[in-house]
This record gives sequence, C-alpha cells and structure tokens, in this order.
Amino acid sequence: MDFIAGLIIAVKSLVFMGGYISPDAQPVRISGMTVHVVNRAVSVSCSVSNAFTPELKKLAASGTPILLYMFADLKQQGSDSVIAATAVESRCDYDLATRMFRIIHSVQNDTVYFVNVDSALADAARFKKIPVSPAQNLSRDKAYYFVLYSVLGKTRVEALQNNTIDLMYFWNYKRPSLKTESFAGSQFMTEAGK
Amino acid sequence: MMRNRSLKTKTFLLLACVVLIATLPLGVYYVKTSSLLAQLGESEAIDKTLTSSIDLLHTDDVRQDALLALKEYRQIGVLKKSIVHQVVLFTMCYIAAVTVLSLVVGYFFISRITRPLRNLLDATAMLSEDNLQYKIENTASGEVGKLVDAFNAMGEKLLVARQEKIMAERRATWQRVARIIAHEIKNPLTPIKLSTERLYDKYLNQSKDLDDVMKSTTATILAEIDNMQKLVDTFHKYAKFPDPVLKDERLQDILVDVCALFKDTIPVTCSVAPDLPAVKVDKGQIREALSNLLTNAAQAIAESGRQGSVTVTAGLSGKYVQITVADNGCGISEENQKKLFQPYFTTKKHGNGIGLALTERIISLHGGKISCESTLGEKTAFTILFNVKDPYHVEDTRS
Repeated sequence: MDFIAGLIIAVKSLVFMGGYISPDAQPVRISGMTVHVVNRAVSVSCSVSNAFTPELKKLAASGTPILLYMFADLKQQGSDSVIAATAVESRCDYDLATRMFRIIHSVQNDTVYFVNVDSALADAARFKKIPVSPAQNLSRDKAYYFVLYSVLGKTRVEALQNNTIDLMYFWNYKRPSLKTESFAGSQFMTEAGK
Repeated sequence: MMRNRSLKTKTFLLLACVVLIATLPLGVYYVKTSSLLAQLGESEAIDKTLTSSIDLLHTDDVRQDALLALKEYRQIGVLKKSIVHQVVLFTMCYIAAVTVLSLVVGYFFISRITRPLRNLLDATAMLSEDNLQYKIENTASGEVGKLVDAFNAMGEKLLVARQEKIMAERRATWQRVARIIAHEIKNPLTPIKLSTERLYDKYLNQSKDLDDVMKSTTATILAEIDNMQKLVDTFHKYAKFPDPVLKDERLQDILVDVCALFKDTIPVTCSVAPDLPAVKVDKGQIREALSNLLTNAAQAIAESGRQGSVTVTAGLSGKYVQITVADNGCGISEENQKKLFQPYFTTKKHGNGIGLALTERIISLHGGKISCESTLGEKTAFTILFNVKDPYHVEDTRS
C-alpha cells in the first residue's frame, strides 16, 4: 500500500502534465442549449454530453462524489463585456449501502434519487433553467450572447489517503464551452412582458 | 565501418550506447511493474464478494468498514489506469530527458576533448609539410594539455635540430670546398715549384740549355696557371650562376643537338616523342645540364670498362615532360646517390663536384625536378621532370 501511496504522490505531482483519455472516448461538449425567460429572469438550459466517461462512471459507482459545474456568462455583443455571470453545481453521489444514486442540483436545490446509473448520470449532466440575469437589466436595442462552459470539481478519494484529485483529469483538462448566436434584447422584453 | 569514423563520433556513439544500456533496463522495469499494477481492482469476484458481504453485515461499524473497503477497492480500480499511465509517461519522459541531457553534455565534453586532438592532427600535417614553426594554442588541461605542450616542444626541438643540421651541412660543405680547393691548388703548385727551382738552378749555373729549359718550364708554369684559372672559373660559375632567360623551346631540338655532340665519344640513342609540347626554358642552360649528364654517363661507361651505351628519351607523362638519360656504366652506390647533387661532392680523381650540382641547380631554377636511380655496377638513370601547365606545340617553322 505504501508503494501505491508513493506512486500516488508521483501521480499527483504529474497530474498537471496531462490526463488519461481512452482512445474511444467521445468528446465532451455542451448541447441542447435553450434560452428562455423564467420568472422575469433570462435563463438557459443545457446538457453536457459525454460528461461521464467510462472511467468517471466507474468512479461514480465507487461512491466517490462527482461534482459538475456549469458557468454561464451573458455578454453584450460588440463590447464583449460580461453583463451577468452565474455558476451552478450538479453533484452525483452513489450510496453503496442503498445502491442508489443521489443527484443534487444547486439551481433548483432539489435532490433526485435513481437506481439506474445511466439515468442518474444523464440527470446529473442536465442543467435546467439556470437564471443568468434579470430581464430588465437588458436593453431592448442591444444584442447579447451567452458563453457557457463546464468543469468538473475536485473530490476526496479515500483510496488515496483522503487526498483530493481534480476530476478534470478525466476530461484531459479541457473544458467544453459553447458560444451562442447573438440575439436582440427586445426578444426577452417581450417574453418578460415589459 | 567504424574505422573511418572520427574519434569524436566513436566516443559519442559509445556514450549513447552507455546511456541506452543504463536507462533501458530502468524503462523496462517500470513498464513491467506498471503492467502488474494494472491488475489491481480489476477482479469482479472480489467486487461481488465485497458487495454481497455488506448485506450480511448488521453491525454498523463493521458495515461501514466494509463499505469503505468496497469504495476504496473500486476507486483503485478506476484510478490505477491513470497511475499506470502517469508512471509510464513519467518513466519515458525521464529516460528521454536523461538520454538527451547525457548526450548533449557528453557531446559538449567530447568536443572539448577532441578539439585539441584535432588541432594536434592539423599541426602534425603542418609539421609534415615542413612548417616547423607552427604552434598549437594550448587550451586543454590534463593529459591532452601535456600532449599539446610536448608536441610544441617537439616542434621547437625539430626546428633547432634543423637549424643545427643546416649549419653542420654548411660547415661540411665549406670544409669540402676548402679541401678540394687546397687539393686543386696544390696539384699545379708542385710542377710550378719544380719548374721554377729548375729554371733558377739553370740560371745560377749559366747552363747551356737555359733557353730550352726557360721555354719548357715557362710553358709548364703557364699551363698550370691556366688550369688554376679554369678551376677558379668553374667555382665562380657555380657561385654566381645567372637566372635563366625563359623562352618557349622545343626540347627535342635541344636533345638532338646535345646527343650529336657525344656521338663520337660514346654510342648515344636519342628517342623523343613527336608530340612533345614546348617548354619555357633557357636553351643554353638546359644544353649545359644535359651535357653534364651525358659527360657523367660517358665517364661511368669508361670507368666500368665495358662497351656501354647511353639512351636519352623524352616524352609526356601526365602534366610533365620527362627526360631520361640512362647508361649501363659503373652505377652509383646508394650512399653516394644521397650526396650526388651536393656541390663539390665527387668520387672522381679529377672531378671538382660541380657538374651534377650545377645540373640540379639549373633544373630547379626552371621549376623542374631531377632524380637518380642507379644500381652499382650495372646502370644509372637520371630523370628530369618539367611541369607543363599549358602544354602547346611550337609551330614548326622548318621547311
């Protein structure tokens, strides 16, 4: 075990050099992005496709908490200045005793339980109605666009003497991002009934 | 294959081999260890056993421990790949870095070691080209530095030895000249002295045949004075030899003329290639040089006591015009061949050692070379080479 621990320390020092991606891994990307006004707030919904690589899936099944973050920046077209920014968290826990997945979305602050691993991970990778900015903060005659990107968090691993590892390793330290087409501010004024 | 490689390349290849031999087993060991590590956490049987055993446990503490054990087992199963990957990556990077670093540092040091040796090699080449004053700048330390110092010291000693040798040769030449001059002067002095004494004696006694004696002794004295005059002229001629006046000349004409002069003395065969190019020479001096060689050949044949002959050949050999004067006379010993062209060196009773020395001087003034090959008691051949840079034929104006 000491030998492994020694290796782990070496791994930890090397972990910033690059991650392990299996050759057949699908690229992680943000998909199914929609923009809407919810409760007079401009919100986005999206999913992270292929977020759970086979290794990450196995890690989740070991009971190790998996943390997935989605960052959404609302920017003004032309000046590229950030009008509003928000970050939401999605946490996936597997309970070895009950053999159930628990998914906690910070946006809705709700907890959903799953028996099926695929359903649980699909839900963890889905972000619904992330409020980014109050609609009244937008100007009717200006154009805006969203920049979304997702990252994996750090987690504590008992097998590594309770050291934390950066889960981004499983994405090879590449965060998926998405820049939307620009849209007119007036579009949200109408939806918000302004 | 390695024989033609430089010392630098050989040493570098040796270093590369040493580095690879040293690092490859390390790499193999790490890869092997990594593959063993890869088997960790892969057993489904262990996973199932742990999972099913949890259900059988009812004590909270023990159950928690079992859950943790299962969690850690699965975590290792997942993370081992990254561990293996990183270990292999680290090993490969380490080996590559060590190899590159060793070779770069090694190359630097090998260059430092071989540079003085290369300088030494260049200096040796300079030395072989008779440049004894060439010195190597010593930037090396240790054994190579000492070698360079020793080489420089050797060069200095060689230079000193060369100067001493030149001085010794000069001294020996002067001694030889003095001896020859003394001998040559002494020879006529005896008849002059005897003639003078005889004349004085006849004069004191008022001899009847005083007139006759006066005539004969005066003739003897004058003849000996003439001999001495000739001797002085010969030495003077060698000492103050004029520069050649070079003109395009047909060597075949000169050769035929000179051979014709000796036809009454010895059997001479003259064979000249018809397409011989014109050569820039001083006709008079070349005639004299060839005459000396033919005279020498005639004397060698006479000394051998045999019925000999002289063969004169001329032809084109590459960029040289080659003239050979060969005889089947008495030949020259190997020891004497070395001194053949030294001034005042002679093996003949009545020679002054000027003929061949003068010939060699004439040929060198024309930018040519003369050499001798001889077998004692059998034959001798003198070969003259003239460098023809732009050979062309002189137009034959003869009808």
